[in-house]
Amino acid sequence: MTIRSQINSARLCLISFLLLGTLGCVGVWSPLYKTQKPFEMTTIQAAAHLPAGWGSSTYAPLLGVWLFTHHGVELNEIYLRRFLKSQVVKGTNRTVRDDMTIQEIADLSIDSRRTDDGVGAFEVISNQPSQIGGRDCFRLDYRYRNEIGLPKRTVEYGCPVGPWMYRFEFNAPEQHYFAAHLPEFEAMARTIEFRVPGA
Amino acid sequence: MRKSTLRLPPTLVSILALASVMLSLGCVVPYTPLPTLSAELNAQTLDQDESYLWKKSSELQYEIEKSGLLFQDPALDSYLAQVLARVTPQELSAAGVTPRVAVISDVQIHGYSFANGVVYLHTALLSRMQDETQLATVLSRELAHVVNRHALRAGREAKLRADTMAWVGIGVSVAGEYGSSAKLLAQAFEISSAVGFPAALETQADRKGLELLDRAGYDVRATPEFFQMTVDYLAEVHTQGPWAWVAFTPPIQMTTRIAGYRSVIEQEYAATANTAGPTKTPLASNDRFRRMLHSVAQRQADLELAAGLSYSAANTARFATQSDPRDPQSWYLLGKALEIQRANPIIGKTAPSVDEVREAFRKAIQVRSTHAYSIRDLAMTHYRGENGERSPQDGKEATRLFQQYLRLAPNAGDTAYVRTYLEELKTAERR
Repeated sequence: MTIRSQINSARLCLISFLLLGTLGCVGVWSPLYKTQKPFEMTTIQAAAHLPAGWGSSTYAPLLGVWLFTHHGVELNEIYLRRFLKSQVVKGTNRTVRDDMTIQEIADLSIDSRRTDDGVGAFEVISNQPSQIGGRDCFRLDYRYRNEIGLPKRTVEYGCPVGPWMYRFEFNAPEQHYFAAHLPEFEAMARTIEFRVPGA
Repeated sequence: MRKSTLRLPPTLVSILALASVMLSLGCVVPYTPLPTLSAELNAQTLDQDESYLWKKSSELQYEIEKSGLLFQDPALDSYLAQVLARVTPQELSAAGVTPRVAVISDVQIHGYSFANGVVYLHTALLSRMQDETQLATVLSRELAHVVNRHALRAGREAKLRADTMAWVGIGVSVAGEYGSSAKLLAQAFEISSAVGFPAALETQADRKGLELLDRAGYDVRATPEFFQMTVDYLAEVHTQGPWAWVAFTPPIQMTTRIAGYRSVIEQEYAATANTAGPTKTPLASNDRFRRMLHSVAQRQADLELAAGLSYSAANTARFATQSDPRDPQSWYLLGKALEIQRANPIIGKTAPSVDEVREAFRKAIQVRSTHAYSIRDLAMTHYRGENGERSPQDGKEATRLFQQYLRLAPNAGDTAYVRTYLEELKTAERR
């Protein structure tokens, strides 16, 4: 082992200890406040005005996902995430190809969702083209029953940006919570900007 | 070059050998069958743990059935119930058990039973059946598990298992890579994928299943082919997955079962084997049987499409086109499957030509000129053109078909997308 690699290993250890030491004391949820500028979500190269009053998962961004909730994830949750187009879309045995239309990408997302774990009685309410951050996207609205039979409803935006497929979801029980908090998600979605260089 | 050898101390070798013998023998449980359900040992006189197992089974069935996974077709349900009644042994009725069968929309090839006599068949399993004898084979084998109280037996033997369900393992799980409602069937799947039933119980179910099948007047000779069909299906799925480059190995429990069936038929049904055909006429002829399963085949083709198993979807859709050639939906599903094959070619498999894709959609339109989705998807093949190039003729044809689609389905959910295609085609035409 060279001196350089030993220094690198030592640095890695130090960073790991620092992360453990600091994050170990951080709460699971951090409150979101109204900001002047869009909040930069560097791990997914996107920015947005996040819903004030909601909580943001402290640890999710380390996994490349942003997760917000107001009353707990069972009652309302917003997921912001992205994956490489070359990655197989869960449950579909297919990838997002560059020659696919937005509708075809939306259909692929539907296929993924309707064959997903814990999803029964899946029903698409609407599937429309949309625009987010000046990009062509799709907007899906669907309902299903989760593993305990609870009727849930999701609005999902999907946007292909460069090599990435972005997915923004709002998910809540259909009764009360969906309608009550959808406007906050929609307001946030309207402010999303992509920061993918060259895309 | 010096050969490197690993030399272990003799004591360590002895300890390892002893440990491996103990490990393997530790798993062997001498098989002593439980008394079967009967008029004396009935639903009212169950042991405490058996009552609990039945209660848990009912709860799990309730969860599964309210989750929206049931495939409901009243005509099919009624037919399945009739076949089930025909193979139900007297002892079950005497024990106060009323078996019930239901169909689950699931892309995996499975069939299983619960301790309380409820049998679930997945659409994947039903959609590939060719005749009533195959259906009766599964049902009688399930009932054999029920009458022999295998779920209870397995639960008592394996303390670590949270047993609520008797598992038959018609196939092997393909969950994970391909879509499946695995989580909703989690408790059932946990049991199945973790251990299944001990071989002795499976063998007993094989024998008892054949006995019930024979008693109901079905031709026992056809049973090995049925299980072979499930293996063939798994092989077919394997060739479409990420591990396609690895040679397919049939699940050992299936090859053993097939061999076991052949051997039992040869030894115990030699007289039957020498006579031709069943002793009673099946409730449905083969043609009627396939027509009964028509809607199941369509559902399964749709599930296979969602799971990206386009070659399986094409095969299943073809079955549906045969069972009812006048149903445009089957031709549409076939067209979709061929379209996905074309867009996502698999190494070693020939992708269909665009003409083959169009042919399937045209057949659907031929059967029903107002089949809007076929018109839309046929339009898409022209919109895309060939090899990424769209000729002016393709552009015109796509425009014509998209407009026809909008006329036929003005309130369809995807009209906004279709209008964007028309806009684009219009712009391209102007250039």
